[in-house]
Amino acid sequence: MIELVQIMKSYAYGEHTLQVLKGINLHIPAGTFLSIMGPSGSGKSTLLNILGCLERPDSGEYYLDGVLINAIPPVEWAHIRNEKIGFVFQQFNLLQNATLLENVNLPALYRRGKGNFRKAARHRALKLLHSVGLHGFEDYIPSKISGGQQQRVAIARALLNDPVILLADEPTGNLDIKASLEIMNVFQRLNGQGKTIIMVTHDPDIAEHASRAITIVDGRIAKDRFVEHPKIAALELEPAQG
Amino acid sequence: MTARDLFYMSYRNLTRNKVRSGLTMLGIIIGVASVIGMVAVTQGTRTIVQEQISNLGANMIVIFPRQLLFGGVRTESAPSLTLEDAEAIRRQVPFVTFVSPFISVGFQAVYTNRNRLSVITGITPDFQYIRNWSVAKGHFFSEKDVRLAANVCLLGNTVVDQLFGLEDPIGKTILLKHVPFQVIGIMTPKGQTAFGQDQDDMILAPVTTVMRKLAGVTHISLIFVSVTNPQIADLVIEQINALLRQRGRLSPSQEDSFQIKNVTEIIEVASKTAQVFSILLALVASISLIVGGIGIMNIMLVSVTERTKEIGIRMAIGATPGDILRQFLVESMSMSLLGGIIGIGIGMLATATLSYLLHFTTRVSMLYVAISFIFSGLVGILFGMYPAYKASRLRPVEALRHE
Repeated sequence: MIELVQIMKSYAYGEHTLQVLKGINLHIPAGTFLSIMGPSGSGKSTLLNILGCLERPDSGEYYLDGVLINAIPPVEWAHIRNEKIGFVFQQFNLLQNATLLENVNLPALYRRGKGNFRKAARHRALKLLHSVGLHGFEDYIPSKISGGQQQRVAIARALLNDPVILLADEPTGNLDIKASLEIMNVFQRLNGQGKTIIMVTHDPDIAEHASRAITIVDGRIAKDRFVEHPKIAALELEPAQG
Repeated sequence: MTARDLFYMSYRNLTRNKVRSGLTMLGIIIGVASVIGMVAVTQGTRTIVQEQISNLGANMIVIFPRQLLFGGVRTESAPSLTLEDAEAIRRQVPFVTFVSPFISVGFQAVYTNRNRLSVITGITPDFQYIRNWSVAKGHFFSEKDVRLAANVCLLGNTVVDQLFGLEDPIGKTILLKHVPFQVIGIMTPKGQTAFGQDQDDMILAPVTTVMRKLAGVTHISLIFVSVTNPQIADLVIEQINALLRQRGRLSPSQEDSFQIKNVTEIIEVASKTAQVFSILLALVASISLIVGGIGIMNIMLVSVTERTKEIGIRMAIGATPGDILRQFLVESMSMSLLGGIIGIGIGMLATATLSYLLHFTTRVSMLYVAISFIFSGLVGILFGMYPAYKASRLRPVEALRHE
């Protein structure tokens, strides 16, 4: 599904060069819920950006869904992001001057190949918005709803074009515990339906909801383990609801 | 992205910041409105001038006595043209339809206890055909009246009003320099010229009568000639020139003692002047549009900076650099086109108000409306290009990090 071979990435700051990723090798089979942990500056966000086709590695090979991404010209990357990748950000990153439904429908605007899918996309946007518990909020603007709700809208948006992977960069970083658990609940439900999810987090409790957890230290994978008993967000939420 | 998506998006973005969008458009609005207004006024004036010049007679040639130089000083017109010259032109030059000698003098016109200082014009019956003048009441004098130097005259409306009021002037006698003249007709009113001159303030009489009984001269001021076809005017002028030189016994080295002017040339000069004016206006227009365009560019650059994060989000979601470029281009173009449309509206409204209040003759030029519209669109594209390009070149990771 995802295969990283000797991924290297460095940034130049004037005369100095900072080696951020020092050879990442990683195989992620389809249906994995992977968490990436690590201290600040360890390179976890850079890794996520490379996985998300937002940045190009200096060297190494990146296969996504059987395609060698390095071989594809960066001009095409926008289409890969649009069709194969869904992003969820710490800041939610919804368009503030658009309604929630318009936000969820946004990826459809940039989809290649026109035709009937546009109408279908609108219908799908509505269904996704309902599935993350925002029935009746279609015409709200993002500033009128809570952070947790905004993040769920962002997840709905990420799912619109049915991507093969969902990438989440600190999705709970700006949320309280309850809202965080609700996001984990959505992720676990999606993962249960077979969606591959890769999530960067600095919160060990959140990382325990994934099925596999890796830790990056100083540009290398320091720890890679399967989570034996992942926490179930739905169960954690129950006492709060009761 | 479809065109509909793009226009809807720019509609949303422009209405989000209504005051800013409005102020940005103001440059284009003012530029376009002033162009539409100015062109309407100049086109209106141009139309009047052209109508009046062609009223003079499009196929008309006028012969002036040459101003003579005496030691470098230009003196009064030399008394070089005579009635015989006019007669010779009529008889000997082909393609000439009408010829009328012309002389004018200013005298007091008196009727009973009323009087008015008027210009008395001496002509022959041909003159009315050369100038397209017509008689409203009574009749024009005849060739016989000219031969006999009869004391008859025709009046313009202004003179009639002044001397007769409501009385019928036909058959009455007025005094010009104590010489009695019988009024035989009234000319059709012509109104004012473009330069505010009253064309109805006139008295017409046979040229011979005016020369002998009023002016006391043997020469005439001008000769009016009409030709069958404006295309052959130059040929006719050449022939008249040769004829008058021969009659004046001028040796080849001597200067002409007269000057021949073609009214078509005057029209050409007038329309050339108007053309120069139009070019100047176009220049002013392009300057104001450029200034408006710079305003749009400025705001678009601010907008790109402000919306860097939004650009990052769109790119992460799958917008290509081309999508971003198009979005900002459509936005700046929408702004300038809308400004252009509003400007056209205001320009037309101002023009209508002006012609209503000041009785200006105006003509809104559809050509300029179309040009303004197209140009304002082009300005939006041209000046939106740089900000849009800048937006499309942003790197998604950096754009997303922007706060």
